[in-house]
Amino acid sequence: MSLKKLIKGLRQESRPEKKCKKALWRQLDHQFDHMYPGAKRLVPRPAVIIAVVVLIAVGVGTSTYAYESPEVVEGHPLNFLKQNIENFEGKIKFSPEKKAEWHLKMQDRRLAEAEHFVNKNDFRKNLFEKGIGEMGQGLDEAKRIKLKDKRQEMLEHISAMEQKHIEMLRQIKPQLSEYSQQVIERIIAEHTKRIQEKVRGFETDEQEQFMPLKMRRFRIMHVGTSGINSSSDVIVTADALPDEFGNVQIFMLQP
Amino acid sequence: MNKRDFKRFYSKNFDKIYRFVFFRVGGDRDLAEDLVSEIFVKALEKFHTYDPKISKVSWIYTIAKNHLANHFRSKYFRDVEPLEVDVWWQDQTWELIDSQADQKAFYKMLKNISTDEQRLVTMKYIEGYNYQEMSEILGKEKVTLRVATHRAIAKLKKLAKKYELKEINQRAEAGKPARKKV
Repeated sequence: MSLKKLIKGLRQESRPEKKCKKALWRQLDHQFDHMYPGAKRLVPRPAVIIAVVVLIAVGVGTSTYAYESPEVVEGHPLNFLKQNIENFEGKIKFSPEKKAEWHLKMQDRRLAEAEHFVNKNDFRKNLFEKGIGEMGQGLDEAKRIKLKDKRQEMLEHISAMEQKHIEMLRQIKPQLSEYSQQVIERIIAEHTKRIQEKVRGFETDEQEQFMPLKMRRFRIMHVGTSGINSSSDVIVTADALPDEFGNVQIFMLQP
Repeated sequence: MNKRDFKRFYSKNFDKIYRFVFFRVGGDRDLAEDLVSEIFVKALEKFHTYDPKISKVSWIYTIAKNHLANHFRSKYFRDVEPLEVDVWWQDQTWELIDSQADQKAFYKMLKNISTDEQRLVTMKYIEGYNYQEMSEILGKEKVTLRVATHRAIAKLKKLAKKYELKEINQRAEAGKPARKKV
C-alpha cells in the first residue's frame, strides 16, 4: 500500500464539486454588485468616497427595511429587493436540512405578513397560500436527509412550527369575515391532504412523530338505535383548531 | 478593491477551505457546501478589510475556523474554541464518507501520530497549502515546518508498512492471496 496513493485517493474524495463552486461564485458575483456598487470606478477623492458611503448606507438601509418589514409584499415597490435577498438565502443552502429550515423560515415570514395585514383588516389570500405551501416543500427536503436522527429532529421541528402556525390561525380567525374564514379553511384542508400524502413517504415511527396529523385525524362512529352502524375517518380543518388545552370540537350536521 | 481581486481570491482559496471544512464535518458533502458558502459570504462582507500584503491565506482561514467553531457550538451546545477546530476532524465519524478500506486505514494511521503532525500532513498533502502559506497560518518558520512535515511522513510510511504486513498475514490466514500492487 503506497502512502502517496492513499493521500491521492483522499484528496480525490474530498474534492469539491465544480457545480457547487460555480453556483456559489454566481451568487457571490451577484451579491458583490449589490454590496459594492461602483467598486471598479472608485477614485480616492473624498467627495466620491462620501457619495459611495452614502449610497451604500442608503442601499443597505433600504434592503434591510425591505427584508424586515412585513409591509413589503407583492405589489410593493421594494418587493423585488426582498425577493432577491430571500432567493439568495435559499440558493446558498445545499444540504436538505438547511433547505428545509429555509422553507420553514419562509413559511414563518409569509404567515407573519399575512397576520400583519389581517390586523389592518386586509385579508391577503396569496400570503396564506404561499406560507402554508412552504411547509410541504420543507417536508420534501426533510425526506432527503440521509441520517435518521437528523431526519427525526427535522420532523419534530416542522411539527412544532405547524403547531405554532395553527395557534396563530386560531388567534386571527375571529377577526376575519365569514368568507375569509371559509377561504382559510379551504386552503388548510387542501394543504392537510397534501401533507398527509407526503408524510406517508416517511417511515412509520416517523409518521407518528408528526403530531399535527395525529391531532387532526379522527374516526367518527355513527351511532344508530341498534348500536354503532358505520364509521368514517374525518380530517378536521380550521373549524376544529385545537384550543389552548388541545381540545377539538367537531360539529356533525347529520349522523 | 474590484471584483477581479475577489474572484482571484475565491478561486485560490475555495478548494482549500472546502477540504478544511469537509474533514471536520465527517465528510458530509452537503453540510460542507453550506458551511463553505456561509464562510465566503462572510468573507465577501468583510472583503474591504482584506489586505493581501498583510495576509494571503490566514485571513480566510481564520474566518473559516471561527465559523466552524460557531457551528460546533450551536450543534453540541458547548463552548468550542477556534483552536480546537484545527484538530477537530480526528473525532468525527466517517459514516458519510464513501471511502475505500485503504483510505479509512490511512485515517487510522493518522490517529497514531501527534495532532500537530496530523495537522501538518493534512495541511500540506490534503488541503494543499504550501510551506509559505502554512508558515503564515501557523506562525512558524518555513524550514521548521518542512522538517516536521517530513518527519511526520516518515512515521506514516513506517505505519503503512506495518499495516501492509498485518494485512498480508490476515489474508494468508484466511487463505487468500496477497493483493497485487498497482
